Amino acid sequence: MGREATIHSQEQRGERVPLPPPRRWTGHYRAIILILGMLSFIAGFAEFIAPYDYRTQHRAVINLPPMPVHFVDARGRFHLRPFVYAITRVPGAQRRYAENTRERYAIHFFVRGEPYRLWGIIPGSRHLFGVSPESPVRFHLLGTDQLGRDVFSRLVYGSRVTLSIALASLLASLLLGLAVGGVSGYFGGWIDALFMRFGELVQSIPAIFLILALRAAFPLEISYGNTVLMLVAIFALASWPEVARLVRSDVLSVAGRDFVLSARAAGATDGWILRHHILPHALTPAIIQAAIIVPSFILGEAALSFLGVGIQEPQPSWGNMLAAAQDLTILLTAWWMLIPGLAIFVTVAAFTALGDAIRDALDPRSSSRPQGWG
Amino acid sequence: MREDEKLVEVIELKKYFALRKGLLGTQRQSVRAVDGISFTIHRGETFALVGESGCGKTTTGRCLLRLIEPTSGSIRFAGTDLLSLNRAEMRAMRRHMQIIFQDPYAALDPRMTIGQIIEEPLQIHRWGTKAERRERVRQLLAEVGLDSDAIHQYPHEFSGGQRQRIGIARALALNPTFIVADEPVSALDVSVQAQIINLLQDLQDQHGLTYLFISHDLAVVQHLATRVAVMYLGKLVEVAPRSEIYRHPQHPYTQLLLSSVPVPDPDARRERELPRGEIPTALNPPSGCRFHTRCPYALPECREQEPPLIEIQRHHWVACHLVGHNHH
Repeated sequence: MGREATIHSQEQRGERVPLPPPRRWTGHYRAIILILGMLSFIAGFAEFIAPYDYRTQHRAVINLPPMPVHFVDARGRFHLRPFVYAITRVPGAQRRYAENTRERYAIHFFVRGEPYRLWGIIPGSRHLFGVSPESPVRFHLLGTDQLGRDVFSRLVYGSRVTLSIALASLLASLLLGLAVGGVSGYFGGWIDALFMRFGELVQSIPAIFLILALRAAFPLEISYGNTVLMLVAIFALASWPEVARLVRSDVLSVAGRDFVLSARAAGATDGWILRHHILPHALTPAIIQAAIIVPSFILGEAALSFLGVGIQEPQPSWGNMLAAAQDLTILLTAWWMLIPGLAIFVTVAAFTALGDAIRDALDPRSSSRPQGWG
Repeated sequence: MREDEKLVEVIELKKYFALRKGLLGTQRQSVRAVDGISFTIHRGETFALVGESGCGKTTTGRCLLRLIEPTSGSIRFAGTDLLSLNRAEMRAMRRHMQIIFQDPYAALDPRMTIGQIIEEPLQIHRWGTKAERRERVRQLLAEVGLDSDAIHQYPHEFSGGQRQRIGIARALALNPTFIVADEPVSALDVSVQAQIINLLQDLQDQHGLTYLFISHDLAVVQHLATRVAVMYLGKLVEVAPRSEIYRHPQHPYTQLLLSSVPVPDPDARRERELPRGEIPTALNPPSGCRFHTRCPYALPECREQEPPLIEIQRHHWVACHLVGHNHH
């Protein structure tokens, strides 16, 4: 029996169709989770995964292109352990580098390198990969920038900045949206009108202008920690109306239900009812909505940092790393400086797909839902 | 039965719902859902409130528990004027008065387990320790005839009758004295209805509960009511002990309601007419006696003068000009 028939027969018996169970995640959802999981791991263990500190300058190799990783040496012999050749500078006015095929340095996993403190606490000196610290060369998987800093290391540290801002903004936006939408929908009246009209005002301003205007409200030179807080505040203030509207409509649909009246009859306070009965119902769509706007946080951070008013050097963020690539000559001579753009693209795409996937999985009206539940 | 001990006393209760019309909500109209009703419920009795849908019986029940704020009137519960209580005092009072809903599907939060649903009133009133509350939930489940395995299950896993049992267990959690049962069986199959009614009666015997039993079905009420009040368009038209109302219905509306109760006998002949026409709207109720538009015996004065509710016999109150004529 098809889905239609099942529902029909249940309605005939006077029953409501139960809430569908969350759909199992298959296919490309797994790929999204894998990408985001890897990203989170990289961001979480940046000190270990990055071979060098994001500030370390390798002055001998400025604007070095990504170093090729070899398995087969110049004499055609295969090596099980990948290796890199030493780098020598080609004489001339322009900085150009060539591989010195006589000097071969194996790439090891878990090599000792620059000492670090994981999350600023746990001391360590092992890195995921690299060449032996005794060797005269350093391994730059994605090359170096114009100050000789390892691009891969900066990309890894930058992922931490970008992702933590995006996730903190998601949380802040969600909390703000739940609070405003919950109060608005539950109490109604002039509170509702005030909050919702204000939200519409915020939404009516184009995002980039709003973000820049909010940025202008903060001092230009602020510490790194404050910058992160500021960006989170900006994104939360710019994005809460979308979450709040959704939460409000959900609250309105739930607030009149008998189980809410039943809680009131049991002596529950407004706060209790909101927390235990109304907001849990609004939470799922709110999370979906917030997940859908995560990419805009990532892009917003990149935009502000690109414009020089977000994360400041030497702290890396994908946005300010791209700022170095705004010069045409650098674009032409150092293409690897565009790699942070690729990272932004992949991350934004993954988060967008995640939002869609959650929505598909939880929306009973979605056409891609498997048949026959309930 | 301590018949004369008043538990709930309702005096001139009114509830008007404001309707907004026009672009700026300037034109105001109100639905007079409950339009000045008075009655008393004695401790330990089952007071049935009967009427067609839209007559204001559910609104009355909810006003009694202050789930809806009445427009005017007074409600005394065990000697306390409920409408004079502030929010915190009212919340504390709620443990003595509970409600059972008509729709057992809508009354249980679908995201909570049965254990959580029944425990919630206890948590709200900070009743006992966690272990004591768990024990109480088990005891309540047993009392309403459900297995204690239900604790970890969700509402959608249960049938309508079982869900209504869960709703009853929740209502009983705090040992209330008064329960508003708002059409507790009308959403259920006939076979299940009897089980739930028996359960409600058993619980009443065990705990000395007082019920306000709201129903549109005189047949259901016949089994358990002590007294019956018939409501029409926001007004009470007749209040009498059960035996009186079924044997000697005085108000034409009560008579018509009784005549529409199905009789499980194919040879039984219907003596009375069925109600004529639709129930008028409470937005603009008829003048005089509200029933005159459908009443087969309507007199000219019924159109102009509203009949008062008078006691024609001991404990038998009727609001009808005809009945008044017969007795004077």
